[in-house]
Amino acid sequence: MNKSLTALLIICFLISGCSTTRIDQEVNAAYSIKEGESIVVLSDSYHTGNKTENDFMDCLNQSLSKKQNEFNVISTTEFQNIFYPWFEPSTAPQTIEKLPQLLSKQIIKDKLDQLEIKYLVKVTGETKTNASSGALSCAAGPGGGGCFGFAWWDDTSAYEASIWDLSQEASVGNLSASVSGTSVIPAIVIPIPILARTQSNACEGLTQQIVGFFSR
Amino acid sequence: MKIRIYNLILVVLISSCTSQSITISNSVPSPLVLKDQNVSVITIYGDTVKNYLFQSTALEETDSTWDINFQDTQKKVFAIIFGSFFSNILERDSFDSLDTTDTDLVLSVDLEKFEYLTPQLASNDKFSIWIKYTINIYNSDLELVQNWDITGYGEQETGSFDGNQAMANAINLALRDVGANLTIQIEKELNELMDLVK
Repeated sequence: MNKSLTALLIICFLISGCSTTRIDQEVNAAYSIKEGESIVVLSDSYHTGNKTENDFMDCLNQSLSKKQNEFNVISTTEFQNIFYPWFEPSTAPQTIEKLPQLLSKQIIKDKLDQLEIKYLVKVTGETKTNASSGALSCAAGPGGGGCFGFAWWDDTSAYEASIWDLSQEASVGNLSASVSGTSVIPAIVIPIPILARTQSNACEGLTQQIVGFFSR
Repeated sequence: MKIRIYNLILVVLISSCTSQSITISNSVPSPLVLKDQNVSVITIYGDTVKNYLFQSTALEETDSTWDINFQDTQKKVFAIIFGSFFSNILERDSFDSLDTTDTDLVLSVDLEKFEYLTPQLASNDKFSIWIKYTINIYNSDLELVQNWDITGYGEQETGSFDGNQAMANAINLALRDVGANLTIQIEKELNELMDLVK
């Protein structure tokens, strides 16, 4: 019994370890960033159907600040508050073609110059569950409770970042990170979740892409 | 035996409908706009803008009901936006106390609609909020010169938030959107409003 339980756990671990990561980079134009200059990451609006999660944006902001010293990262919330209401979900430019119209406002241009914000990193994408299967049932009564079963699901975290140069008013590059993985929960009395951390791996992947992009 | 009774009470509490209470206190940042110094404005806010307590009714027995206390958050949002364009603002309780010599413009704000969807109602994983206000604009002779509908939409996926926090976030996003749309509307109509003052 113990042997088969151990074997089951090993299989589960191997399945959860089976995740694939794909990263892509495309450079459209010349760019450079100097020490002291800043970038901002901003997700596309939910008004356009984009579903980038808040925790992914938090992860990207924190990770970008920690992983490099070459440029400053102004957090998304701070940036939106300083420039309120011009980068809100309903007002922020969703395509590069809309950027010049916004930057024609001198008060916005002056503030960007004052804060030395050189690039805007526009993020789209989300984490989706592609397939799930298995059954897990839990029951509780006055005498105690427990769970029995086996459940698994496949997640894909796919995110893209378009880097907008605010002085050139042009997109200078596109980056992407996509991570797929399987999570499993075997349960014999106690459920043991073995989760594929696709979203945090995608955050890590996109951070490295952005840092690498500006380090070239 | 005692444990059994506690467990039964717990099961009854979990399975029956619940009432959620939230208090909204966030406002909006001051907008990045140019201020017009030469216009005096009087603002009049409706009762549902000054201090609003929204109480929903359950459509089915299993539905949660919501008590949402807006306090004076909505009024603060309008005051911040108006205050960023006009430096000379006075607030009055009602239209009756006004004198034609008091001001260049009178802005009267009323809440028209507050609507929401929960994950339970919409069969998805997000809270959605719609808010609509009417702003009546009067000239110094207290004649109605413009009428604006200002709307706001906010949504928040449940994600790592509990239900109350997700609902509060969706409301805060909707109020931010109201502030954004109001700012854009004032910028768009500012020249026309200044013509009225002249």
